[in-house]
Amino acid sequence: MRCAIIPPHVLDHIAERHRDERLRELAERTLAIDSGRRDARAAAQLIASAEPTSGPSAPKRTIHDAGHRERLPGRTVRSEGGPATGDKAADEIYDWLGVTFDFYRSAYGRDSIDGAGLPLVATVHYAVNYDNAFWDGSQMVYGDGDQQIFTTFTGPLDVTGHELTHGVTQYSGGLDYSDQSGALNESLSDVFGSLVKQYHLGQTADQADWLIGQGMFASGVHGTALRSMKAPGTAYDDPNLGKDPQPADMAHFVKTSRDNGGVHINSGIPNRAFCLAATAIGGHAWEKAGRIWYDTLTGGQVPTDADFATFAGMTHATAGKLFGVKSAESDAVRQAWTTVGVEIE
Amino acid sequence: MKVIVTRSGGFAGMVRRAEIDSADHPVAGRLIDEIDLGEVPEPAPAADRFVYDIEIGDRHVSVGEADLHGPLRELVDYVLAHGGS
Repeated sequence: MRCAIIPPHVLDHIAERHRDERLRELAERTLAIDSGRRDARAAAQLIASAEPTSGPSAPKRTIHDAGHRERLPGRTVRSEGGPATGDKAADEIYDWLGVTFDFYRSAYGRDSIDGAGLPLVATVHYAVNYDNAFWDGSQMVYGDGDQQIFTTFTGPLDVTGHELTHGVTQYSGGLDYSDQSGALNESLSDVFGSLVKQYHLGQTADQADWLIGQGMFASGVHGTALRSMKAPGTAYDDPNLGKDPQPADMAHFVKTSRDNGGVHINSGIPNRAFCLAATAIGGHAWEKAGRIWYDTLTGGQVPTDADFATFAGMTHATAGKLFGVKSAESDAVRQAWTTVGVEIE
Repeated sequence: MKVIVTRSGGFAGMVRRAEIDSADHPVAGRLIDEIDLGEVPEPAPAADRFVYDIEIGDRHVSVGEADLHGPLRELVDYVLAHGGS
């Protein structure tokens, strides 16, 4: 089980670089006495609440090419402000890192993944026929896909938004990557991955497709995307791949030991709750529903082993704080969770 | 000996399963002889990384993508390439 305190390298980073003196001191103290979780979480909370002394900086992107090997980060092919490389994957990721950075800055005033200007590092062309993309704790890694099922992992913006949000979750105190807390971790990455895309396209909640990974499948695969936040379980149904296994509510929660307890399966439940809340509230989903989820995630209060009900209760409380306990927004959040079978006490 | 590899996780979260009998695949038989399952560390959950469940006869191990090396990695790659689905 991963120990989800703020890792020492993060505290080092805060201690060295953060503009807020209080945070630097706290991070230094935490490092010095190594007293673990409580101070680390307090640091996360302070980061979340700190008023920036100046606006977020510009992104600091570096793109590497692994040349189909598995050594990271690989050869540097593009640095911040550098010219396009002509390599489609490298240039797509340079752009998508920029859009994701801009989304977090504009929507939530967040300065990069760690809230303190973390440079964004990505490697493309990782391994051979590699059907995956991941955040390894400090950088992004993208395969090219096997070209039979997946043709790209760099094309869809929401993949990059999803992966970088794993970094945001990590720097917010973390959510254990198994069972319900793991499914929440996955769901948060889908939520903000989708919101980055909606922000980029200027879509309102009712205009958005709420799909994750649209445009990755090779032609011939029966499916539109990997996941549907609006209608979990309907994204694909293919003779070779099987059917999208995501449940849409708690009555269909999947118990499995695979995939760390089905973190990519049961994420369908909180995904749909977010989509329902955002659609009921209306307008641009990142502005209100996204703000509620973002403030909850980054508030430093979410236990690393939170289950759906705990997180649901916290989003409802956040909605009450932001918009009033009797507000339409607060009601929408409660109703959304109730619809997917998660009761808020 | 039957060898079954089930890969789950990854960004896509899709399960991929493949199976061979080492009797039909001498290469796999030689790799199995080199594998020490006792050396495989407990899988440490990591976001969007693959998790491999590997059955070799009546032995079973779960291993995270980042810890899959050497002859076990070669066996997994071989089974996924030759064991269908």
